[in-house]
Amino acid sequence: MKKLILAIALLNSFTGYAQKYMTKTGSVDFSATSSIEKIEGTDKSVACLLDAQTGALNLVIQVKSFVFEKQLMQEHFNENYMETDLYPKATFRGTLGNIKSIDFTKDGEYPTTTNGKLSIHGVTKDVQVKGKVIVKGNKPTLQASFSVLLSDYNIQIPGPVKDKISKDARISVKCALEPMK
Amino acid sequence: MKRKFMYALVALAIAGLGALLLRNYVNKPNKDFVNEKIDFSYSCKDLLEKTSSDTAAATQLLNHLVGVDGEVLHITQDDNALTIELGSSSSNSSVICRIDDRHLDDFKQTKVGDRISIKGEITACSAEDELGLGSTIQMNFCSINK
Repeated sequence: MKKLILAIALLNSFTGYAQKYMTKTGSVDFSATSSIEKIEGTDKSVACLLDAQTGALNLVIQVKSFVFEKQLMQEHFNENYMETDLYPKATFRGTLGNIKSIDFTKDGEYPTTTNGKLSIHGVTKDVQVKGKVIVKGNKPTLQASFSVLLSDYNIQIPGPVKDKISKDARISVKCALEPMK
Repeated sequence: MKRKFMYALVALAIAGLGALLLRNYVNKPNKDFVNEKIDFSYSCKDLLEKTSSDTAAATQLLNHLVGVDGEVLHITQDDNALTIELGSSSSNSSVICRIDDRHLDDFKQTKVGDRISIKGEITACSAEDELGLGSTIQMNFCSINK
């Protein structure tokens, strides 16, 4: 009897771990390109944790890890717009709406809608993001693209460069997840 | 008349030089650290231990060029960007190294399980483990630490 209880406990513990997926090398692309100038940055070290049982999704982005093509653009992004010394992190905490319809053991592409709170530059807003979960070989990859209005997050664009920077930023997220240890 | 022409020529040359300098300044690429001397050197384990036990030490390392020796845990290739995660398979704590696009070829032979020495600029130290993912050090513009 003791052995049976131990076996069940071990099985529960194993399945409990298998229901969480994570990565620390997720990707977020940022674009505020206007008709005048290409402004694009990428961060390839995004931490992402998905609970496949509850649908809870957490992303943590260290804003200073964004890389831009030009040094000056990178400096302006960190110092003038995102103020990364004051607000080093951007986070998303939400829930995948249709988690029960995603079969993490079956290859396929599953459309999904995620509701949650997006915190950027010290401002937190409720957002709804449409995306998809691509399952391949029991590993899910999350993909989503959405736009945010920079003024919603109190990101000010100075007058002289107002025409060079788009008022809304296009954000694309891609996280190839692995079962959590 | 000749003097006026000379003045105009000099003014034009100064304006042209100014425009060229401004253009170079605005379009200057990011710094390449490949030939730069590192400020500090750590093993991956020591760096993670140091930053997770001492947040002040972690803050001091920000923006410094640091060399890290460790085992390759993951390699992520995505849209011509290469990210190498150093750490141990027994822990979620790790060092994330975004390889400088100009030095991708130096890592062509690198594979999971290799021991490697990488240098890069530290952009973030998150020791608080808020997602249960262990401590994380992030480095940008990484290259081989020779």
